Amino acid sequence: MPVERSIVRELQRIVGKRWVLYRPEELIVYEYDGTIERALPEAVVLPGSAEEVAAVVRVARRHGVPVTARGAGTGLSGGAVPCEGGIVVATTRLNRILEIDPENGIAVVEPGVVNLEVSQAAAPFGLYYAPDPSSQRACTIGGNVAENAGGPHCLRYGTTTNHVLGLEFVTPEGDLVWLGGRTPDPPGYDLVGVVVGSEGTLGIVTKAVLRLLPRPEATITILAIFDDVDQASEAVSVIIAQGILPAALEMLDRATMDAVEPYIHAGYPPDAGAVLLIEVEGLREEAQEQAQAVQGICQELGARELRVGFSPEERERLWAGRKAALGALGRLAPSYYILDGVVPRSRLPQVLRGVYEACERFGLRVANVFHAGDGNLHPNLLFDEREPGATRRVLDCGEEIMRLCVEAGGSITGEHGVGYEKRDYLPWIFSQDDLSAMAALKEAFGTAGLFNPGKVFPTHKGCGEVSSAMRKAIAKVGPDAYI
Amino acid sequence: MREGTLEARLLDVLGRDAVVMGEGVAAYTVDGLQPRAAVRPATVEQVSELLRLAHAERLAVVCWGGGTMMGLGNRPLRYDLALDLRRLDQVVEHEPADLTATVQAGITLASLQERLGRHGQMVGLDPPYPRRATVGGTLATAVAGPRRLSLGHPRDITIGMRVVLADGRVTRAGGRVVKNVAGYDLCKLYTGSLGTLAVIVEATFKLYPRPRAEAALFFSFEGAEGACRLAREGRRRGLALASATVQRQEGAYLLLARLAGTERAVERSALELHSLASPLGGETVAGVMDRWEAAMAAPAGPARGLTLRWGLLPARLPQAMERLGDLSPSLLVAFPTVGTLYARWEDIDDAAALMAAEGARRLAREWEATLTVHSCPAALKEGLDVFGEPPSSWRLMRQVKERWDERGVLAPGRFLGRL
Repeated sequence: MPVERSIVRELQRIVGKRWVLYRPEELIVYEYDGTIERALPEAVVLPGSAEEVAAVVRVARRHGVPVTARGAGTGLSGGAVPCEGGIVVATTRLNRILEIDPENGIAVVEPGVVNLEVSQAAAPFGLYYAPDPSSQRACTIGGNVAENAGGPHCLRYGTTTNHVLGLEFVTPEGDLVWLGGRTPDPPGYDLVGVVVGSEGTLGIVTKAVLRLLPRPEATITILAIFDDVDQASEAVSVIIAQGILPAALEMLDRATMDAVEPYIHAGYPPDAGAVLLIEVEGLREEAQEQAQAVQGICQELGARELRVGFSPEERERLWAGRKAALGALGRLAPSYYILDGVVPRSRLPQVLRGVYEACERFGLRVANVFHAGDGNLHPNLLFDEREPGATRRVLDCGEEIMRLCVEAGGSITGEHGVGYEKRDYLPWIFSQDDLSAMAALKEAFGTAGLFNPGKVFPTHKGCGEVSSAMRKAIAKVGPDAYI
Repeated sequence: MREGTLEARLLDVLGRDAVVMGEGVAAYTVDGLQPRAAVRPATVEQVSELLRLAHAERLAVVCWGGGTMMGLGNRPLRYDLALDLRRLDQVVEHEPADLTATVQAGITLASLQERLGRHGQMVGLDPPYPRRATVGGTLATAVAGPRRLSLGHPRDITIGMRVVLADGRVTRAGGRVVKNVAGYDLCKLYTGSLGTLAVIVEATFKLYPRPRAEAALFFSFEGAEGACRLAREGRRRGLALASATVQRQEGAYLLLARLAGTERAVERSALELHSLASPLGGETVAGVMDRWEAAMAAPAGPARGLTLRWGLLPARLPQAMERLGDLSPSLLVAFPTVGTLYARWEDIDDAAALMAAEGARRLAREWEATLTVHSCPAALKEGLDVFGEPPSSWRLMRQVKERWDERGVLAPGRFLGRL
């Protein structure tokens, strides 16, 4: 349903004229996120306070116009892609860090605050915010909450859901309520736990209380270089099986390094089959012992070379290379398709072999760069969408890889979310009853399709169908994508 | 449904050895209420059948594990069946190489830890009385002991669940991998729901390696400030603290610090805590009896005494402890890095307990804390909601309860706001 002029005027009355965008040339930067999906909203609202967000939601509800909340638009499952005919609530102006409470290890922030800024604000107190998605220089806390964002260091510290204590939240009725809070064990159902990761379908977060952690005393970075991928993935499985939990355990294969090195000069060996970028943290003693154990395992499994003792600058370059890997893949092929699947860590070598086999069978080049310690795979299928039939092959290959993950006892998404793209895969891992219990949550919140309809679950309402058609055209990611 | 019919239907679903009627049901008393029958299913299918029956007949069902926390919660509005899950005590799958395990709800913590310990692993659940406490009960009550400091909250380590809904449908949430964002995370909703939304029959956890070395240190302080500060400073420095408890004893405040990790990390952490303690006025003492389990337990049966639980900002704890210390509780125990505070009065009559609970509520407001009446005599529960005033999001909670359990089958009235 198109947004009428009268609604625009109502929105303007709430937030002020300059904070409602509705001319096509203004809307165009709000039509995409990190995926290829695109849809133009009818209007974009930039509220300046939680109360304004609530008032905007009430207007949208009254007129039956769908609402999509948007942070930085770096998501990888279309979470911030608007519904055609809907309005976008952009959190751009809600970008204040309201409080850093070092005594209690808490930060209170607005949803538009950039992830990395929380750690920067906490740094003078020796604290930081642990979840570190690769997009952390751009992505916002609101988006992180919506997607339950992960990151390399989530292996040890957990994902966003483990670091959010409370949320101020606009309900579908347009009420402003608090879920959870600053103090431990708030009474009642854990609604924070279900809103985190709900992909913007239950309401809009207007403030978040985050847990800050003390910076570890020692961090040791290890680069383990292997001739082939198989050895590297075996090493990952053995490290976990021996009960060692590094802070981060990332794998980059040769194709990824080929893309990254000329571009970032991060220090990855160009001729290796795969590297593991490993970090162990804690007390000096603990970190040293873990580092030795990890190196021992890598050596035993045939690592060609182990590099340690990086300077802070070198370490930063290695991570810059890792976190910008996705952007660099654009150098290898005109298009690429990112997959996000999870497998039990003991099955990693087997599934990864299956991934390469599948890609070979489909005649596709693949670059793997992923959170190996969590079993969270990110195969990136490289192709040229102008080549006839290439897109079809990519989608078929992607689906086969997802099946491999599920058959190994894994999941269809580890951190990117379901969005539009994967809602048809949900029945692979959940029964109809499982899914109807999830859908019941939406009903309990009384969303009536107000927030991000069509995402996560299929819907019969307009915007899901539009995107269903678009889904078939998935070809490459947008300019702001990170994994 | 008449008793004779109920018995026949239960026997039909579960068989003779799984149905308790008559005198045997007294053991399943909750807040002075006895159920009409208790059932002890041995399979998930039986749990499902039972709930189908309860749903059709609108019978109220209260879940039981080891009974160590049955005193927690409002008095049920109705109570027809006690659902004892302790026969569901199997380890469904433990893949040591994945550091994950799937277990049935009725297994006790001690038994599970023993099984995992054979592979040098453990689950990060830390309820009081692990020989009796079950996995299901620990999740349903979301009870986290002092090791929460290092192991996290039950919600943080539970990656999957299998539950039976009020109408008997068996559903799953989450999965068996450590990272997963497929669909809504309903595990979070069920954790801490006190059996009012679904019956947890199975759970999957991410596990921890067992620490190679452990140590326990005890310090005595004149005031609560020093004891709490030492624990917080230890955590700030990243010392190998597995848990920290501050308890008041004979007018002094004792810090019980448990260390766990590698040998060298534990050794150095101990040295550092010792050297930090003296400037804060702490003296090393030996042989302290840890009281946290006694403070946290909320057993079934006629409850005596009053246990209150506050959730505070950690920095406010010392002041709160001193204030409560003046009121001579028989137990005063806090987790100084988390902000949880338990106070128990052993010999207290109902009138005094009610006054104390009301006074505690005022303190909670003053401290910007949450307050739960953790355990109290059944009579006291008539007049108060043990979980306190509903939060601003209560309406959403009510809608969740209504959507999940429209007919009031699952422990009706037991939750916050008598949901």
